[in-house]
Amino acid sequence: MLSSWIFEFSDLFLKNERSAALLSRDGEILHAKSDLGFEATGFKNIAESCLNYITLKPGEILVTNDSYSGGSFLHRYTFLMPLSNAVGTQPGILLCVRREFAAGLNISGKLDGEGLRIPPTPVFQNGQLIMPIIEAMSMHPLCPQGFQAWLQSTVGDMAAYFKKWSHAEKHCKLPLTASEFKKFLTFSRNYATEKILEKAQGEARSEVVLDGGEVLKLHLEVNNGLIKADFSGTTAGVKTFVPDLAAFGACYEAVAQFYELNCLRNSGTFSVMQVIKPLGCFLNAKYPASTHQGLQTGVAAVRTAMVLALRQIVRSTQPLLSENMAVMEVSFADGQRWLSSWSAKRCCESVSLEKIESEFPVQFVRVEKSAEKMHLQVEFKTLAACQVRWLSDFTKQTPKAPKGLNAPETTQLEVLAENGEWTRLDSQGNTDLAPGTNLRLNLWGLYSQ
Amino acid sequence: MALAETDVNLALYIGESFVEARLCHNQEVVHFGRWYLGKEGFKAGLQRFFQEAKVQKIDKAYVASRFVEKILSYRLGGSVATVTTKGFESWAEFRQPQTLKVGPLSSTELIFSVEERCNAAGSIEKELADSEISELVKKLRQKQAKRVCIHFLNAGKNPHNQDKLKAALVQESFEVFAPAVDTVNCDEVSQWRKNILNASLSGTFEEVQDELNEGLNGILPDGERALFFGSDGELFDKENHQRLGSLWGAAAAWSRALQKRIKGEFDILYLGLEQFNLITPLKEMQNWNSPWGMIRAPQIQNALLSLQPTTSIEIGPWGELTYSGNVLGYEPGPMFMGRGQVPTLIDLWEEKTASLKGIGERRSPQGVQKFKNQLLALNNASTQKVDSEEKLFSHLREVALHKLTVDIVLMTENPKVVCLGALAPLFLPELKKRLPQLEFELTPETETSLLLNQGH
Repeated sequence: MLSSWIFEFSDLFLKNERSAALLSRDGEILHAKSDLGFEATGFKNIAESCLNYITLKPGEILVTNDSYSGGSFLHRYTFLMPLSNAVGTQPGILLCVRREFAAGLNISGKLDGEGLRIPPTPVFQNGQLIMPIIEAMSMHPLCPQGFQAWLQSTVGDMAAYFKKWSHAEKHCKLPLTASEFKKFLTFSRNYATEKILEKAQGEARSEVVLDGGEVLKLHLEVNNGLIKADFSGTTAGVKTFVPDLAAFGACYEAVAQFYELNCLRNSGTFSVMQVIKPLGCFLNAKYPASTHQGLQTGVAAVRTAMVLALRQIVRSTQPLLSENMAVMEVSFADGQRWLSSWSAKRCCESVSLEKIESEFPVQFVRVEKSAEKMHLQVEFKTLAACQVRWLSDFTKQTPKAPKGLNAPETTQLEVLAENGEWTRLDSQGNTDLAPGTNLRLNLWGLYSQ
Repeated sequence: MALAETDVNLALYIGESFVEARLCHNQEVVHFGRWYLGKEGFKAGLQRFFQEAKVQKIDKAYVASRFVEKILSYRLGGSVATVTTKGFESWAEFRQPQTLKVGPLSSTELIFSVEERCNAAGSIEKELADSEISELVKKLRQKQAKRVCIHFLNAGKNPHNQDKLKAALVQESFEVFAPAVDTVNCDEVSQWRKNILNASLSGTFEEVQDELNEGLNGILPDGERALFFGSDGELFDKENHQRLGSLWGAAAAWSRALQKRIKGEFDILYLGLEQFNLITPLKEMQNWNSPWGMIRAPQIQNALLSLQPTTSIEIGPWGELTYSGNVLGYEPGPMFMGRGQVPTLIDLWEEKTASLKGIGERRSPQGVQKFKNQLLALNNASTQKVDSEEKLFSHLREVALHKLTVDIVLMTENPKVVCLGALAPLFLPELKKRLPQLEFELTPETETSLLLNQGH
């Protein structure tokens, strides 16, 4: 058996999921993946906090979306299910699957105002759905429509995973032992250390000022293949609050991309990273602070600060793209909501203009991207009265770039006024728009040398 | 051989590097052959095949081809231009996943746009002006574009502007490709990707067709051409929007033929010379996760196994000798065939391929020795050395079989698994031992015999 078998097996087992993890029952992440990157490290906390208080047998399922328990945005729900129990030398295995439902731009002063918050809660035990609990969730005023049916269908998918696992465990002779896991995680840590050692070691500082007024200060040390990110001096949250685990995840994600560790996300590779966040700073947010803005803007700021510092250490001259993005939610009188997020760096893999135009009363005027400057311009016209809410990053000032590097222009969200002039909007807010109003978004992504 | 001309049919299975050919007369095999495309092209191979078979006339020729895959790897593009609605020139590229390291489907200098607009209700808000068309034609001529894809927003709802431009460009002797109307799929970029792939494949696909038909000239009745299987198992010839679908033609044809014989649900484990995959005949996939992003392309559910016959053996990230994610194909091919430089999975089983047509005769004793030497050298450089040649080979075979076993367990949907392909007899006994809960059946039919069992 090769040392990498755990990675290969897990990767195949989870291939249909965008965000998921396999963990040992003692809480070590054996393999994690996430389309949002920063979420991957949080699965450990979910497993630990859940299983300390709730007893689940193999095949039983709990759900949570609590940002402070290792979760993410409130519209991303984590389903946890033990696949096997601890027996002899085998510590047992847990599966976590995170899926998105009814995403929205819900910004409030308190987490509980941003949507239905579900602490770790069993939903399937003894072969049955726990209907009273599921119905109670559905009765919550902020519970999205169709949640109950979606939850039941996801529980069905989890049951299919359990069946597949039992089948594999029985016939594939997998050595799911504690010593095998330890060996794999040690291998992973050594692999990450060696990759980090391939580039220059050293230290650097970076600073990012957020639109909300928060200042993020980073002192990064890369030494002997290990990374220490010290955020001492970072201010308290004003509008932006990043849960502890998301801040760690954002740091790790920047490191993983920078050193090309992308395929390996497990407790072994995470252990090369140490993150120090002073109590009270916005990267160490505590319940009940709201998290939506933190998980978007705060996470982008952490990643930017990390990349700026890492580039200084290795004296990189590679092109650098900004992490900033803008999210808009347009609500119409009939209750329809169109949510979109735009970034000059990331692609809009699943956005269809024709689909949006056929579902919502909007019409696109242009979606242009200049590959040279990584400038994205999106302009659309509303065809019915609507309310638009938005949240954009770095609209007031761009992150402080090190010497020799010029940050791109700031994000601009503009509305076309009756006099034919474009009026710039704040970084976050909401406004009512009349039919026929044009809205334009400009995002610049490339730092120039 | 004195056979009634009308009863003899030819089936060809064209992979990236091998062609398998079968002649049948009333379902009885008249002749079977397999040749390596690196050595002998379609036309020469067919002519030799018919000489060996001593058959001068056939009635029909059916082709299942994965040759497109090879074109996708390195011969894509050419002079295909794209015309979009103004303001949306870069939209398709913006949608391309960044994780995949392939270039955009359209070269930036061959993307043009015109002032036109159709809204979501299908009303033309901006009519395409004649002056725009004349200007476009000039630009296309300057860039020496031959094939043009028209990608207008909402053209599926009202193709007025698209048709107008298409007619004008056809008049100017351009080959024009417009997305097929697809009412189920409202993702414009998925349709555009498919359209541009069909356009890009067009030239090379026609070359392949011409070479095949030249090889069959005088053998097929006058006016008849070789017919290709599309993704729905139906046959096509010149329909250019079907070309991409030929990638899944074999899976559709095999599924249909086996469903006639086998009752109930089953999976097909295809262990061919060039590809290992698992096909679920009763399930359909709607999309193809292409290197350029999702493309709506309904096809029988099929998935590649994580190991392929020509997966390379390398020292992995952990310093161990292992299977990499690289599938090398047969050009130059496995080391035992003499030209390859990198050890592959099939090299480990080279002795057992001696009797396989198209492979056995290409075995090179020097290549075999080189493979052994290279594997031993890699073993010495690895962090976990295996202490004898015999143990090393058996360890790597064991790892491969274990990985295949895990794949099959995680991917099969039915307890019954029908195996076919040139390498199926080689691997199946081991898989049966490891997976006693599955009911494996090795089909007597091969890739090509199933193509002739379609009821056409």
